Amino acid sequence: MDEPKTPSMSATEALLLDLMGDGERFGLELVATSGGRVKRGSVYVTLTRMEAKGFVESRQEERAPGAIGLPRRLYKSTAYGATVRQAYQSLQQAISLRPAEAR
Amino acid sequence: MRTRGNREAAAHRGRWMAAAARRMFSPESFALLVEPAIADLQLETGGGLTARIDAYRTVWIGMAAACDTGIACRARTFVRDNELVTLTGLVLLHAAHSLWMVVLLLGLDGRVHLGRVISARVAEMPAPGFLAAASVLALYGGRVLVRRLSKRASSTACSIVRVVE
Repeated sequence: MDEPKTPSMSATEALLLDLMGDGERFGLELVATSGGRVKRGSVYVTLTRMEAKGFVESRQEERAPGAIGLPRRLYKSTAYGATVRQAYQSLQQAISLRPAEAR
Repeated sequence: MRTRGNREAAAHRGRWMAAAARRMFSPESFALLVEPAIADLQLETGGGLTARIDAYRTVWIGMAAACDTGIACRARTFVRDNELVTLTGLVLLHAAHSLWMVVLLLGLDGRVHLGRVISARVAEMPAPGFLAAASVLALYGGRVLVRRLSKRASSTACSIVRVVE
């Protein structure tokens, strides 16, 4: 029988989820608000991977009729993504305690 | 007026890349990895040359990632559908056919004494059992290699993602 796989979350993925908050954000917007911590070149690759893991969901922006150019994509954190993020945050806090503090 | 013209010109930027990527990659890979990067490139009106180069770089990285995803997906299908065995069989069949045609042509031309050549080659060759065992081993070795490669490509720690990060 297969055991359920523990979800993994990298530091960049966690940061992107934090930046998203509750709202919908564009990829470039996330890069701009990250203060250089998320690279423009890797943002869509990371977001696609996060979508495959179920941490985020995305949709195309609505365009005005007659608009030229390709539509951008809006990203939003999912409930599952938020739960995993919270679990990772708790884990990080727990393991960053010193032995004396843990007693 | 000029700003509007600039915006319109920018909106046409990367159209050939979008057209090529649409044909090359799956609709999902295109929509998730390439399209948003090209959309950003088209929106890049200010910011100068550095920003534009950065935008183009994002598009190329998206394309590389889409390519990686496509290769991994094809490798998985290839292994799952047992196509490797079929392909190897077809290649071997084609090779044997071509070899036979060459031998036949040389023999008909009268330049080569087929009987002597064949008997000399057969004498040099290892035992048929050894050849059969080696070909089976090679076939399964190739299959294991492809299976490993496809597993590695499908994992979340994808090679290109690692390079990018």
